Amino acid sequence: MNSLKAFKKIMIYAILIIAAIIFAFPIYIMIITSLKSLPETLLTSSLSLPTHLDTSGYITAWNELRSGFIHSFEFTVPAVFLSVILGSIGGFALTKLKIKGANIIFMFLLFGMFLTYEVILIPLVKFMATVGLYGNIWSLILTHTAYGISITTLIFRNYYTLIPTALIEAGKVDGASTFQIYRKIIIPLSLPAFAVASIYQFNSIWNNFLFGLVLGTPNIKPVTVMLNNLNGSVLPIWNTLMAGAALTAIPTLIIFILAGKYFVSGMLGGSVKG
Amino acid sequence: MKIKKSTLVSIAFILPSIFIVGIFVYYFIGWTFVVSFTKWHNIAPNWTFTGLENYITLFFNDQRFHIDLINNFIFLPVFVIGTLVIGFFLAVLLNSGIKFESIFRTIFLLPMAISLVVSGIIWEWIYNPTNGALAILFQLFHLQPINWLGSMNFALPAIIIATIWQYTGFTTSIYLAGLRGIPKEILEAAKLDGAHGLKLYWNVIIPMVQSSTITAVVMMVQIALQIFDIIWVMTQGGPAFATDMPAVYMYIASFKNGNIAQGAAIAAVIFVLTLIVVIPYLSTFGKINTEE
Repeated sequence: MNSLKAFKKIMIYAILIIAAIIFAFPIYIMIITSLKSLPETLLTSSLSLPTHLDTSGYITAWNELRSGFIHSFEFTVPAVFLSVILGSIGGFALTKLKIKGANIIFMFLLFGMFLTYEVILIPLVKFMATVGLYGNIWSLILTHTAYGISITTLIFRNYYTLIPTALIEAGKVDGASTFQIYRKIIIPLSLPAFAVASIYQFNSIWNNFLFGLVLGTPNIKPVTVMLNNLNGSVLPIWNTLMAGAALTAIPTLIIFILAGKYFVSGMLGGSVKG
Repeated sequence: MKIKKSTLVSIAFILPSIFIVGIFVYYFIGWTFVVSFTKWHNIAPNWTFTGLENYITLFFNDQRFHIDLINNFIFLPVFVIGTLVIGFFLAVLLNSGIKFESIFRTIFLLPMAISLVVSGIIWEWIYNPTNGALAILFQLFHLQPINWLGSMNFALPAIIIATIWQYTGFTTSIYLAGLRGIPKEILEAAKLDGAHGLKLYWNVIIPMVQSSTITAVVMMVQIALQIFDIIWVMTQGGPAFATDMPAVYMYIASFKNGNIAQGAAIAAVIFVLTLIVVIPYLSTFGKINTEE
């Protein structure tokens, strides 16, 4: 019986290790190729480590993608901020302010989470042109904010249902206005929800491709779109492409490795555990 | 009638979201549907009403759209079943009280933290017939390298594998949360009743994680129906439409060919297809989430 148990354990580890190797394999390929010289990517086995470290791929990729990096930060940071604030005040209003039809409003907002982006793509571009924002960084900030509201509202709403309403009542007795209650009681209590929503939003906005593709004029083109353009060039420069891919992935990968718990929580709709 | 100041403040907290979502979601959807019934076939707006003409053309006269639907209906079940089965299996293993669980989980989730553009480019390199990683592995086993993405037969499966790699961490997380939510007493009771091994999974655990399964199916079906990024990066629908999808056609029609009405009609079809899974889900999801 005991040896059977030990055998089972070993099998579990063996399968998990094989699965982990398969899952990490593309990332491994990306990193080793990014550190090779161009001739080496074509002449030696693509599975083997670089014979000597070569940063030319990174230098070329950085020169090509630098402006995209700046653009991506320029719209991602404000859009994360705005969508998180809107989600927070909305979630607060829906759970603590006794609004009539709060559930209907919630469903109205939630539907955006299940939206197929194709169905809004044409009017989105026409709308930005009509209001004079096409080619302006605000087109991307507004778009990412708008389509982030559903998930951020869900995250905060789920979190605020855990905050006892008695706290709000106590604040009211003390004569605090709704805004003061939000600022002095709710915000300090909901820092984990802010972390979850911000991390989730940063990840999805930074990694987004479609909105950047249709709204990204050269002066605001996101890094993902620029990376794909680099991919479209005639000769496949694999070391540069892999270096560009690694550079593009670095911001979200760092956040994920540092704060994976919050990332998962956001993915699961904000079931935040303390 | 005098509205209390506090009511106005309450409304002010939620109004910006309602306003923005109202425009960017509902108004835009309406706009797309209206345009899909018009003759807007060039850059210049043409609001002439044509009824269902654009849809009739798509369904009865448009070979590319037929290919797209077939491709999507191959992609969808393979992708959904792949991510669910592998995700459930990995979640069960992760939940079996092993050491280093968080390290394994982090590795399985890594692809979820990178852009589909990044993964698309990496997989293109892996599938490259000259010195790509897969070609090297094939050589080790003395097999003929295959031009995966250039092949009519292999391009779509190759993309499906890359997409499963990207999203399996998601289903693993959903199932892991579901498995952790099963009360210990129920498992103990089932074991006392003689449920072991596969029987325990089939009769007790799988039914107990049903809501995880439903969530995962809805999410994955939705991703499959609107799949665009990874295909645009890896093959742009080629070779010869072997990996073309409705969303790719929609993008080309609207943004490359300027055929706005046609693009709107394709988008509307994709949207309606997703509603088939989203509406039942949203009504139960809403019920669960609005109970307090």
